[in-house]
Amino acid sequence: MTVFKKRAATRKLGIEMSDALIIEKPGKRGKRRPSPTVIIFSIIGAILLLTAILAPWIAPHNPNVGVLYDRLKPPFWQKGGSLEFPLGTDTLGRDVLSRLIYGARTTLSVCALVVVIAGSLGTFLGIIAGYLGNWFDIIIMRAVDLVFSLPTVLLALLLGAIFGPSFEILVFIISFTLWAGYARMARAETLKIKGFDFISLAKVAGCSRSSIMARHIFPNVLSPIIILATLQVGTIVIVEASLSFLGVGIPPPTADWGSMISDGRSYIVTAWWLCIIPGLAIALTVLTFNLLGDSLNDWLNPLIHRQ
Amino acid sequence: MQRYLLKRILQAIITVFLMSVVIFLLGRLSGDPVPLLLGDLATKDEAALITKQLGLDKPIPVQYAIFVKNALHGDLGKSVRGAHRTVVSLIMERIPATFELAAVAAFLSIILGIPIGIISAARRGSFLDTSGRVLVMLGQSVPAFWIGIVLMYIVSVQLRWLPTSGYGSFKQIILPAVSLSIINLAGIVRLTRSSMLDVLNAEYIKLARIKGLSERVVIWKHAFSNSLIPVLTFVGTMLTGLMTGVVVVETIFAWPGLGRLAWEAVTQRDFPVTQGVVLFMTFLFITANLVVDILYAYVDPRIRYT
Amino acid sequence: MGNRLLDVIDLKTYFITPRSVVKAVDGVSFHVDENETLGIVGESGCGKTVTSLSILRLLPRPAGTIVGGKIMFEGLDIVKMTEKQLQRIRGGKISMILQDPMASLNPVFNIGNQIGEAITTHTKITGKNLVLRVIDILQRVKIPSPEARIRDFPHQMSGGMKQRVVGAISISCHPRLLIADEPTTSLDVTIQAQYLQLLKDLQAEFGMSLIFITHDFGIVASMCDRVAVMYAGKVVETAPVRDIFFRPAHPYTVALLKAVPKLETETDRLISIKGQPPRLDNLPEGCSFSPRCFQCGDGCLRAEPTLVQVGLDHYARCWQLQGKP
Repeated sequence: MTVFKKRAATRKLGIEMSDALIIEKPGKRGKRRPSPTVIIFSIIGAILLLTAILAPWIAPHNPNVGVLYDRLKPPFWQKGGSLEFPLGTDTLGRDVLSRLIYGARTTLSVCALVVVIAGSLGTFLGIIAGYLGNWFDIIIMRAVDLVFSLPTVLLALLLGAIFGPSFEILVFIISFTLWAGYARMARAETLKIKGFDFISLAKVAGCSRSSIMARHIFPNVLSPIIILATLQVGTIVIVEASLSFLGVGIPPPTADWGSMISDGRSYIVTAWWLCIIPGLAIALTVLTFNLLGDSLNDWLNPLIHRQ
Repeated sequence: MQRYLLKRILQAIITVFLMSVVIFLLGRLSGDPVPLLLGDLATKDEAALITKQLGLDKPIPVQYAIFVKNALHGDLGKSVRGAHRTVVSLIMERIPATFELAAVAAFLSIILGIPIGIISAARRGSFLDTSGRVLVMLGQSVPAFWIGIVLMYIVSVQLRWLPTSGYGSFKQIILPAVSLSIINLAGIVRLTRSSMLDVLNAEYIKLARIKGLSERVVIWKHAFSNSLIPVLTFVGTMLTGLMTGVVVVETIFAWPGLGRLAWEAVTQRDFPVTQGVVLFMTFLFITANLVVDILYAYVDPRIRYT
Repeated sequence: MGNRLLDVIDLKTYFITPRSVVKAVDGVSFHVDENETLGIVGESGCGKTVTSLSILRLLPRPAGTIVGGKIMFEGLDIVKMTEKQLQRIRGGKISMILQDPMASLNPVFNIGNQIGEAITTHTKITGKNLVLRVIDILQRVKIPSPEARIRDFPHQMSGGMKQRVVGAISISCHPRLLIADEPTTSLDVTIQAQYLQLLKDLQAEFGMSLIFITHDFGIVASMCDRVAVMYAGKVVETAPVRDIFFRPAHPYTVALLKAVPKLETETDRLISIKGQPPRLDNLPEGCSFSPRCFQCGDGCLRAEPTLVQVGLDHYARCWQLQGKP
């Protein structure tokens, strides 16, 4: 709001309000410095992201090409292994480490896309439902309920059966599953904020509904949404891995942790590293983002009854 | 109470209806099934005949109506593989196995999860609490199929304590059930713990202590009964976890259930079976959620009057 | 008035966290005789509630700890009692009414169950006798048609009713001391008066002593025999109720009374006490009230004042009162 509009608003209300009250919005209190856990997990998460982005420069070998002569070599610390293929090779002679790194790229790009798509769509619809109410609320919430009441991974299976494995379909179906979570949360937060005085002030000053939603509601909804997004990365990784494992996710030969586990399944006895190592990568990624989400939550929403 | 029941049942019916439409439409998207059924060498006349027989020349809404009618009469089509058995017979055959597995897994998750959550909350900050939470966190971070594979490797291959697959004996159900239970276990512990922590801060717990009740009664009668409410909601989510987990776990352990059937059908492009299984499982899912909601109203008297 | 029922001697309750130590109650002493009503007055955060929780040893764990002092009740020190002994006292000998009736009742059990539970914990009454006893108590707190209400759930009742049920639970075992922590704060003004009358009647009927915690001087005037004024975790003045109103000694009490608006005076501005109550983990040197005191002198900043007698059974903690007759 411009300064003029603020003054006009206070005059209309006929009350003397100090400037502090006008600027005061919930959530903009001085934030404490981030706790050490937030910093640690953010760093680990950033490392993961960097690995994914810099894959072509970091990976020692081409992930999709292998020489059959080199097949099924164990990791370097076992007999028969070497530092040329630090984590061993798979049945086609492809380097496991390189596939792992490129797999990070695949998985994290799915996560990023899903978070952006589901997150923006869900938040957008949630704010509208919460702020505008009436028909918007009813329709959007019915849609949300519907999504929640369907076992969408089964539907993903169905889609996979029809169209075959595909990156785009995967992103689409996972986004379809998750947007409802963002919508529900955004709506709940919007309802909370709707009643605060600074919203009434904005209305009195003549702000349009869309500008109120964009400039006042959205920034305040942002922090719980970000926490939700961080916590959901874990879910996305596991769902993506599961679908790829079943053969309806990322199509081969693209390196992907889920597919790697599936490929390595029959060799569990002779070549344990093919299954176990990608699983550890999944665990590390999910754990990092879950813990990051938890510590973000603790930092931004300190409990009053903390003892 | 009646009003609430009626409302929920109506909602469930509408959801089933919408879901069937979605699945049906998805099916039509998969293209013309006739070539699949007849093979490449079918003549134009044969194709036309089959098309007419299957009603594929009629407009979509009519096809849907036929689809629904057939479904309600227990006809979900035939498998395009092998012996062309009816989808329904295939499903019926596999239900007991899946049900067994899901029941045991759910049972494990609840029986272990709730007490761990309660103790974690009651002894907040202690070693028990922290180690429980760490274990749970690890359990939530790995996909069910990976746990299944790892367990299989360690327990069946290296230690040779349990068989790797098969159906029938008690020993054979342990590994799959444990793998299936882990993800939900984590969720239940987490939820029970946080719900108990919230409840333990409530005024009525203070009042219970003021009355002079022993700590045991305060926790297990007053706190527990209130913390169950959110946990019951979780049971609904648990069903989702079970439903997805069941597909991977059955596949890994060669468990002859619906999940495995779905996977086989998907990999072999057997569309009628895939559609049938998904339809059936979704229907089960919606029904189960309905039951949970009704139970919810029983446990929390406040809900009955909304 | 008669013998001493409860004697709190130099009670110190601190909240100890890794980050700070909050001295919520710092050397509080008072006593309650049989059949009398003691009022504890003070602003929010002065330690009134923590004192009452300390008496029943119901402080939030693990931060809340009683670090010193004695609480003598029936010849024994509550501070040193075992959990089992405490459970016998709670509800049976000393009972408490909490501030918020909306939240004090367990939402999933009906009220008959909740009252009955209190009774079975402290007596051996069961079965039909139990039901009769519950109905009897509901009648005493003036809840209409108690036989029908027994199976009601808390959310089906109004705020005033719920507070009566809470009252019923607290008197169900005929305690000798009842601590009421601002029980009328969340009630409508009209209901307030009825509830206070109810408490008075119950006190007379059962011969209970009452500790009434409040910030409302009107209630103090109508309910209490003696008053203790608290500030920043300490008792700054105790006196019979008439003395508090007509001969307040401590500057804080004087200021509090001045701040109560009277209908007759015409004024544009309401009088308030300048400044804010101090943070309990960062108390000023010397007298805690000194920053806001209109009578503050040099000596007040150097050391905490000691208790001085200013009248019959009337004590205050103020350096400025030394030397007064």
